[in-house]
Amino acid sequence: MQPVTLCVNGEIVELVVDPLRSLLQTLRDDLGLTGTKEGCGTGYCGACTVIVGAHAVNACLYLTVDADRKDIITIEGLADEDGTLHPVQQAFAEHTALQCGFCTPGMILSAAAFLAENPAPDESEIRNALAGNLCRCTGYQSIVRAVFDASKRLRDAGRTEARVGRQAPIRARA
Amino acid sequence: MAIIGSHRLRPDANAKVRGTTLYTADVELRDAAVGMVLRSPHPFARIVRIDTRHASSLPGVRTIAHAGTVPTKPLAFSIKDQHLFPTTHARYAGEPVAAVAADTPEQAKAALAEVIVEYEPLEPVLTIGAALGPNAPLVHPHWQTYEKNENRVLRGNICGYNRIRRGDVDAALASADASVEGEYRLASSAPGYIEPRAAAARKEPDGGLTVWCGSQSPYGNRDELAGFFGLDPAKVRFINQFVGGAFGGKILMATEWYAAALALQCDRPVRMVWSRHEDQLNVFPRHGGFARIRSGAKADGKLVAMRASFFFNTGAYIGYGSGTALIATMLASAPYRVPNLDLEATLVYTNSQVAGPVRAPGGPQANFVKESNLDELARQLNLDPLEFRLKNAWVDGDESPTGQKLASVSVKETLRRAAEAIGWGTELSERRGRGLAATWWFSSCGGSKARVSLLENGRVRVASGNPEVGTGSAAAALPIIAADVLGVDPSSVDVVLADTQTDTYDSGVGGSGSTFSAGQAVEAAALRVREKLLERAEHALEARAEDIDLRHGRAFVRGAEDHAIGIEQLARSGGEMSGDGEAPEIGDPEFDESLVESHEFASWLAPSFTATAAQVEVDRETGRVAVEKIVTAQDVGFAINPTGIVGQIEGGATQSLGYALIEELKFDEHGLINADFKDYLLPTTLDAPSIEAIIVESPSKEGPHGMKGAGEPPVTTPAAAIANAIRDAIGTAPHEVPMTPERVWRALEHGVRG
Amino acid sequence: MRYFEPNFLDEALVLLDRFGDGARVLAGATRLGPQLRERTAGVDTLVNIKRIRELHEIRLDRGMLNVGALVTAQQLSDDELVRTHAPLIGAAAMTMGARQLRSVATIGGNVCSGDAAADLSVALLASDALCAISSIRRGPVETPVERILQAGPSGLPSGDLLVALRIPLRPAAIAYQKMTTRRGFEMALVSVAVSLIFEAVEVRHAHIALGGAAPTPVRATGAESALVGRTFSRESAAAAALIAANADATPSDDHRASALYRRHLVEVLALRALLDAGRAHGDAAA
Repeated sequence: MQPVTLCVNGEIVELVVDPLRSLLQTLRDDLGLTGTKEGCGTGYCGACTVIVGAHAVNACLYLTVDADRKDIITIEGLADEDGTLHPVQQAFAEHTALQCGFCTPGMILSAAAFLAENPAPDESEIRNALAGNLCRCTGYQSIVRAVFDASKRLRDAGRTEARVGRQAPIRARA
Repeated sequence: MAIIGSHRLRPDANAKVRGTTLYTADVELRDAAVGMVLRSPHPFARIVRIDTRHASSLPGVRTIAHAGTVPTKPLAFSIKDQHLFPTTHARYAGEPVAAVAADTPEQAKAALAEVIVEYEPLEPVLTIGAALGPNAPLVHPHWQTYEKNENRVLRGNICGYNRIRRGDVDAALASADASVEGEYRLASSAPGYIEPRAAAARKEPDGGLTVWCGSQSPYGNRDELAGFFGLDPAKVRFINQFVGGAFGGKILMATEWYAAALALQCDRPVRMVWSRHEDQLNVFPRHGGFARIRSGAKADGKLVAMRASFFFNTGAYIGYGSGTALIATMLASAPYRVPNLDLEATLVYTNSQVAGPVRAPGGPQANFVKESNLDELARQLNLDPLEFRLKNAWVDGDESPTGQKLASVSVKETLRRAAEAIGWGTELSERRGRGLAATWWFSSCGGSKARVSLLENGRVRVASGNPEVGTGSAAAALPIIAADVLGVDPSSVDVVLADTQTDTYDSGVGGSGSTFSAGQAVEAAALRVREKLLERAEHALEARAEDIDLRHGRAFVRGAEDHAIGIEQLARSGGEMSGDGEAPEIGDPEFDESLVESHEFASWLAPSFTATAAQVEVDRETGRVAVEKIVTAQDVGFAINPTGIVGQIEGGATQSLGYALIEELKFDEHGLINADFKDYLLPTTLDAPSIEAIIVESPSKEGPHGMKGAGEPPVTTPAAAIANAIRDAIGTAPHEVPMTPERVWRALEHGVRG
Repeated sequence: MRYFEPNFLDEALVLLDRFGDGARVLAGATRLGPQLRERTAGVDTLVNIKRIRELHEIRLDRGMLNVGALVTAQQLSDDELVRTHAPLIGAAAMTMGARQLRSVATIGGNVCSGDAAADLSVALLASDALCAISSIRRGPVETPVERILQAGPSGLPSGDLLVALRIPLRPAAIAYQKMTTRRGFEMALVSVAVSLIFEAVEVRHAHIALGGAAPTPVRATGAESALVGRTFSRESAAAAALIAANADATPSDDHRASALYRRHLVEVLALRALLDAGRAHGDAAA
């Protein structure tokens, strides 16, 4: 069993985990953060996408021990502290870029991480960036529209943060 | 009607974008044991014995369920061919033969490994050909002893048959100026919901059972489960969670059965969450099979005859598989006038997974076959595929293949609008092509009850048995309907869904009937509340009810808008107002019985019409098809929730593209090969086309506000349109789905296999 | 299960040597993680090499581009040195699965996967790359990547660790072509990596690697011979592609594609890749 220190949605968490435990298992079962979903367990559907550091990754394949001392953002940590939705979340709701909602957390985080890197994408770049997130309900068109719209809102708001979601205050970092 | 028919934000969107929506695997259940299933490694084997003694004694094991510990009666399907756990034979590789509940996943896995099952492998029947051959081994050696519904055909490996016949097909084909024959192969495919199956169950002190799940039909499931285990249905409570997609794959119970069986045998709640791999092994796929079709027409394009035979591989048990065969014959010649018809469909048992009613069962299959064949016929006659279809299309007053009188027919309108939107007839560069397909579909009105309450705080509560599986039929459409009747904004409406304890029975999501049935129940209930509200308004405004309007949260006297009172105020003044409503029982339309043989679905309520136009680009060297655009024009009768309909059309287009080009469940002699998303491929953002949804409204007599069922038609036509677009681009198209790059290449190189 | 996170290469090598066959290297664990979570039979020691800094580095070293075994596909797509000195690797990396996978999939993992169509492996094969392998017993050793790829999915012998991939600095005209069933990311049915070095219009060196056309990635040596020492043209490229398909490729039927179709894809993709490389050379020369 291995001790790890994670920073999840801005909060420091200390755990002892089996070295083979996936980040998905830790988030859902150990921390009760059920917003991250398991759709396939093998890294092909993207429903478990979370942001580690600046990268969108599949939590089902990411070892918790490899997330030691890293910033992790789950869907629960994307909105502001006061509950204000991130522009990507807002755009998804307004464009009805969802139906059953199961792929939605992963899709939103994937998009948010992508936009932080590429703030002015065209449609083909958006589709390319989200190709690892499967959706069976929407046919993707409304999702692409929402991400495109979100990119505009982020630019209009002058938001250029390289990191997405609630980060830990500097003093709390180990 | 400012509310109904307008585009609105989904009420469940906020929670879904925050990730706070609870699906079954998210539900917190303290002290729950972990349930796991043991599966047969053999496609066909006699089960000699099961010995669980050693496994039961392992640490953490709470209980083990198998044929010996649960009721031995067969499950309540139209043919009593299946038990909860197989009693004598395992009939497909992956069939669950036992289940374990233990404290941890590791302990459950260890126990499964120690359950002794002695099998005597038998020669499996793996294809339709093998099943129908002479001296074919029987999937059900004792089929003759099975109870079944009266009109079910059951004979050896055949477990369903229906036929529609009119006129004289042979004579008509002989007189035709052109006829085209073809054979088509259809792979089976998965529903593809992103949430794998999960359920939890807990035995209750009163002898009842609570089940948490994400089902399409919790009331039906509740009744079936209670009946099977001999429990009082009033004490069996299904609490339906939000569902992460279903598409017809979550109507029949799976994890619910095993969680319940285990929970009834021990004193802990039992939770069973399947991995994707497990889910695929037991998924209810869309029927695969093959078809032969021949159609003939006169030189001017008038269709004179069609003969078609469909054979569907229904797997090891009948389950809910019979619909596919019934629907296929109803679709095979529709929506065109074909005076001479001979259409039949056969369901065949094999030792493989149990096929089910995946979104529009029989729809993509029959349309792929029929529209490809008709396109080839049009080309042989040198006729434009659009003109050819318009020439033969149904109009008001025409008869369906079974003699049902058709009204509110919109075949020509949907075809024209789809064709126009794709740019039919305009120039296209060399490797590109366009194709069309048209069909009809039914609406369903199952049983549905609802209760609507106007609470003292002014909010409206709608309790409906209709589950929210993603389409928005419950979460979005029902609030719209209630709000419209009561004159409030849909945002003041809260929906309580599918908890069987609220006793708001609903026959479930499926068959394009959710808004149709649940909507009617909610509307009826809301109307009762409206009556009571108007009574209060009468007193408050000193006016008569018939002079009072309810709108924008106010009750006001028509013509004297200032003479008004807020609905919230009326709600506060005198306690909660409730009303119950029920969807009416609507009989099926009349048809001509003499035209059908053993057909249980020969007339269609409030039929809808859908046409799709597709544009593709084909890489001739690799066979890769890029779908550039799909336009679907769908007649929904009346669009109560247009945003929802557009969502269904867009999702259906991509799902149908998957069916057409990519998706295929592959089997070998050991069972399913591609049980993971690495090898079972779904369409991604890069595969999905640009989609245009055209809502056509040709109202029905029967549906609320004239609506027609809208959930299934969007998957029925795009695959066929893609096939025809490929044909337009390169002169040929595979007679097999999925039309993978290799198959397209082979069709080009070697000609189409006829 | 023993678990270690060594900070230095030597530590890791000592551990691998000590615990022999029962030890597994964890490097991103995108394949090993799910496998081991299923069953751990025969595995009693896990050595997580993520802390070893040099394994994450891309640098020029002794006249070659040294890519640490833990460098990710995303890093390869973005890195300036890769773009300059090993663009073929970068091109293959960009096709390699969705962003989520590219962020964690490592070049070392790709080489050790044994997949016949692993993108980076095919590109490395066409780049004449060397595997820098270390062990306590033998010390640092450099082996052509071909040798490691031919060993297949059994991985390296116990005690050995793949430390880096070393790529010769040879400015070449490159191209990577890949075919899948769907348009979204997927393990290639067939892929072709091409690296050509020209002298004017004549081909001096030709490296063509095929993925999905044999049990492991292979060099299309017949096609290469047909190009070297000759003027490059559409005809010569087409002739070479035909040889690649008919002689160099030895595909089998499997549930994803038939051998016949794979052979056909080799010809089509080889020609496309060769023409792309030829065009790149032409543009550079212009």
